[in-house]
Amino acid sequence: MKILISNQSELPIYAQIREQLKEQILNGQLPSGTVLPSIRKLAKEVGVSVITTTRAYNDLEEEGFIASMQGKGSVVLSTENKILKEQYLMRIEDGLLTAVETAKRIHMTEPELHALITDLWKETLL
Amino acid sequence: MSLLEVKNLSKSYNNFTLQDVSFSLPKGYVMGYVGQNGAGKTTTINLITGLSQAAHGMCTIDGICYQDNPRKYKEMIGFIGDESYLPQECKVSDIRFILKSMYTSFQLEYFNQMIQKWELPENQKIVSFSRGMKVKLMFASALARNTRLLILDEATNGLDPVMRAEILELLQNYIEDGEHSIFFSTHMLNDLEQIADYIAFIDHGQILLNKPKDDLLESYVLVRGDSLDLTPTMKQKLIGITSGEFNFEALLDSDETMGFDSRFVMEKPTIDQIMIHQIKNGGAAHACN
Amino acid sequence: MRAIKFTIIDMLRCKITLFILLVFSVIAFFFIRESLFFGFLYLCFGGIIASIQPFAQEQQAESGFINMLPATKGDRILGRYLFGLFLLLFSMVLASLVAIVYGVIHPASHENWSLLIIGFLGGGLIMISLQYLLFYVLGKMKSQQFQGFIMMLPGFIFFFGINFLMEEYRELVPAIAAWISSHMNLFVLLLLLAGFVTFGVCSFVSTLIANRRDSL
Repeated sequence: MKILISNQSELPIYAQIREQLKEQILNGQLPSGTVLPSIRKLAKEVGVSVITTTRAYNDLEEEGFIASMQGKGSVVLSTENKILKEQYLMRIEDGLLTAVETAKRIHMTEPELHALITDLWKETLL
Repeated sequence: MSLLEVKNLSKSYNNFTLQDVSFSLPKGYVMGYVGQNGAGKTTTINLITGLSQAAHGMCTIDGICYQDNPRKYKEMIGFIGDESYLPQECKVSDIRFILKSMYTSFQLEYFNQMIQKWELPENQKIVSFSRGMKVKLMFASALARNTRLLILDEATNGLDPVMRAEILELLQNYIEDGEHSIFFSTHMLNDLEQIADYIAFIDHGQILLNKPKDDLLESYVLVRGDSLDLTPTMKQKLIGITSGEFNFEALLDSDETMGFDSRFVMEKPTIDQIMIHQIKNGGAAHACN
Repeated sequence: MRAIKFTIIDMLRCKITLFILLVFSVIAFFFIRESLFFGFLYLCFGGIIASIQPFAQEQQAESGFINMLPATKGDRILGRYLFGLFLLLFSMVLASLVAIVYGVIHPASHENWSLLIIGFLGGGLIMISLQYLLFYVLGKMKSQQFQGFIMMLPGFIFFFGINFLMEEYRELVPAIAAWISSHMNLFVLLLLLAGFVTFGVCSFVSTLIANRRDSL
């Protein structure tokens, strides 16, 4: 787990923490079942206020990335989770939307874009 | 549950009145008490510590008020004050002796560890200590016993960055278990701003604002621009305008940014900037209305 | 008892005054003329002057650390009064040593000085109690010079007042003087009793005053 806070960022600190944790959950660096440090421990380690980290965890919990379990702390939920799937879907849509808009701008046709996606699908090993 | 509860504190001196000050600080959190010199910070702290008696109102720590049990009440407080807080003619050994004989929860070993770690001279009078050494000794005295509330009265003013970082770590360790709270007063927020959960502004003896720090920072934007671009309705929304020859600067409620387009520069304010513009706005007088 | 802890704290903070009293006891020899009385008077005066030291420190900078110690104002004030009593006892122990040394040097003198010691204890206690009460009534003083003057005043009044009375009292009130010389034992005991009563009353009143006030 890695948290880097920037005071120059336009994002408030709690949002920076939330986004960075989200990123690490989505890209698998924090697999499901990982127990996150306690809110107070994290606040101490990052050097921010307790309310700030509480808010980051609350947001993540609402969005379905983590759950607080009695006596265990906050645990990363499975990416099979329905809400998480939606999050993924949103990211995919975002990416595709950019692709479609860019394609239209250079007058690329729909089949051409489909073909490009098919090629990329094959080339990507993941 | 709140650890420090301050309710309707009032106190008058010849030329100063503290009016109806109320706030509460929950267990495990940090509150920054911010205001100009003479705004009433020290008066409030004297009332909390039982040094002064309020004309009205009350103040409790963990449900106990000073009059109920002065000794127990004071045992719960760890205090870090300014340069003159420690008796100047004493040595570290005298302070150790006093702590040992007065406080039931004094941990001698821990105290000695800190004295050693910070290399504080054992047989030198405190009057000859540097500012940093005095602060270290105050922290050693306060942290080497079981307290519930740490009160810092302008304690970190003028410390070097290394020392400040060290103190931040100590403070965060102190609240980590969720049972201890910290109340600090300052006129220079940058010092401890990053670990504060709540910020209370005091001006002319009244509480102007009291909010979680993150909410406070989000509730305003700082706007700069040319005064000529302002319509009367826009001008009304601005809080505490400071005008220069080439631009103006003011606070704006985050929900009121309508009409402020690309001609204006908008950014996140710092706590200091919020304070400056709130006071500029008329401070306590305005808050009354 | 917490008050005694504050007495010890006062002693810690005023170590120098104890040494100054030692110096006083040497000087006291020069005050002994026809009787040990004036030597004792001088030492008692020394004790009274020395006892203002903790107040002088507080006038310069009231130490928050001491005020924050887990105790009541009453504990602190009684501790301060006991510190005054301690200094007086200390100066009277020194007076006794002076008397013993003087007796060795001048074997011819057979003065019964133990009664004198008790008398000075009583008188000194009255003075110290009254002066402490005065300090608590005045509280924090604004002017530094004025404060130094006020603090020394009771001691000097005591010293020169008794000097004056000893020279002149026979002429002033011969009846009282005659009674005192014929009932020395009773007079000294009454003085000591009055000392302790003043001590108790003054410390109690001081606490009442301080509880109504914010500082000291």
